[in-house]
Amino acid sequence: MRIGLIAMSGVRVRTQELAELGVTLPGFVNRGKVIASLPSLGLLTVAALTPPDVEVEYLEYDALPSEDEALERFDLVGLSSFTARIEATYKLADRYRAMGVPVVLGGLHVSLMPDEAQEHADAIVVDGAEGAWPQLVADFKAGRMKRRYQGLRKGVFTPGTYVKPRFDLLEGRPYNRVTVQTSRGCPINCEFCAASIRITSSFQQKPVDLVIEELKAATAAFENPFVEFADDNTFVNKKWGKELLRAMEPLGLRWFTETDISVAEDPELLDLMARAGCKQILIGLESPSESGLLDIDPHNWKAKRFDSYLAAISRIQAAGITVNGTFVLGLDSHTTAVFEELRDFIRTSNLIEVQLTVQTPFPGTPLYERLKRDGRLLEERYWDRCTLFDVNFVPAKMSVEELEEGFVWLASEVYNDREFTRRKRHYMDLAKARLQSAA
Amino acid sequence: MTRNQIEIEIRKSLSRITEADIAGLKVDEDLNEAIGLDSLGRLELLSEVEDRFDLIIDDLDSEKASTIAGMLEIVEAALLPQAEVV
Repeated sequence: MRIGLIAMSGVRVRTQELAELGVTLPGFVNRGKVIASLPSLGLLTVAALTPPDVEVEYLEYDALPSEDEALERFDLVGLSSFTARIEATYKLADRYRAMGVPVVLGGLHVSLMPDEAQEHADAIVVDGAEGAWPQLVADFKAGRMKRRYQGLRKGVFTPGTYVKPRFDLLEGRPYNRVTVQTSRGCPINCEFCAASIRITSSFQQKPVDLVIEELKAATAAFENPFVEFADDNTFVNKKWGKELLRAMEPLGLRWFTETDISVAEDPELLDLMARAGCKQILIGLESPSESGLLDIDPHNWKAKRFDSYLAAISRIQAAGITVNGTFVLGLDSHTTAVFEELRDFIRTSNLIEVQLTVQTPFPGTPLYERLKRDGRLLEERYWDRCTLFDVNFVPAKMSVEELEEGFVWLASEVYNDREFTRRKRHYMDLAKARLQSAA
Repeated sequence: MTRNQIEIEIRKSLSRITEADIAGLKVDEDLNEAIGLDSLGRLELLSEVEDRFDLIIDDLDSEKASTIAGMLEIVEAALLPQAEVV
């Protein structure tokens, strides 16, 4: 038996003016491009959950033959996709099914919109493959595959459930970044978040020894790989974080992760991160004012920390770790004044990297439910516009056009050559200070 | 300062930043592929080179700094106002 696992890669900005900006202002869509080019950790995990007597092939969507050419046949095909690529995923699923090849769909979007996905699949897997995929394969072999399989929402890193992803399937492929997951979920729980928090019932953390084993396996297949932790918030638990970092230091890796601003409150943690090879952390700063942060998470966790933002960024970057600050435009508190306010904040903060995004109501999130209830969604179905750059809703305190125009203006202000050079020069100054103190 | 001397100094900087074995590294070899020097690493290299040669590099196009040959070009251009490169 042979299973084809196909990862849906690549995202395209839909709004014409923004698409052009992505070409003329490098940096504007950098992070999106990086994410779209990462291997699918979910499918590598599915491969590991597949019984050893079943042959598995891992494929990237972009490497498939075009629509007028024949697709390779498999006994079963598994597709995993995020929202922006789901329409292409459905099309591909329909093509395989028309060939008589049964299709299983999984991933975040499928978990959040199961009834919609069901129309294009013989079976769907919701909330992750752990606890679902082995049974699905057994049922398929026995000719009684069900329409829906429920994955585990907790305990995915416990013995008996946990598997090490099949990183060996990536050997010989041109990835320069490999992904490893240390946790699922994030206790901050922002209203707009469409990440792993939606498929987990609580914050789940992998034991340190398993992370280290995965890092060794993931990096073995590549020369000079850069590790990207596929986490939403790695350093929630500082004690666990320090244990992990001490174990990572001898591996000599270079890595990136997403976490929150509180890492700056712990100098020992910052020092260990730098020593363990952390090159950059992405932090969702979201808004350039405290009022803009109110109500984006249930406990106003981010709003309460706004006063520490500037000092925290400075402390993290001085430790040799660059901060990729991400911001969400079009929050309910934002008026058109937010664009200038954010430009000034970015300049003052000396953030080395910046990611501007538009608030995006991903289906299945609390934000989506609220905007749908209030009749503020521009279209019923806009999944291929869930790019983080296209506007899909009516903002509370400005018009759609004002948000689009303000976003384009701000992108031009933040990503132009002069600003890039200024940020690079600041980074070089920090590097110099570090080299001098090391000498 | 000769081109050869500049190359030797660039290699010293590279070695200090990356701690990698760069003895066999060719001048046109991609530094990211060969020793994992990414865009931020290239900025560190430019910074280290500024200190080593005591100059200010205006051209911060870190893509150009992705090979030793590219670094040579950057340093030579920055040195020009100060002394002739032979």
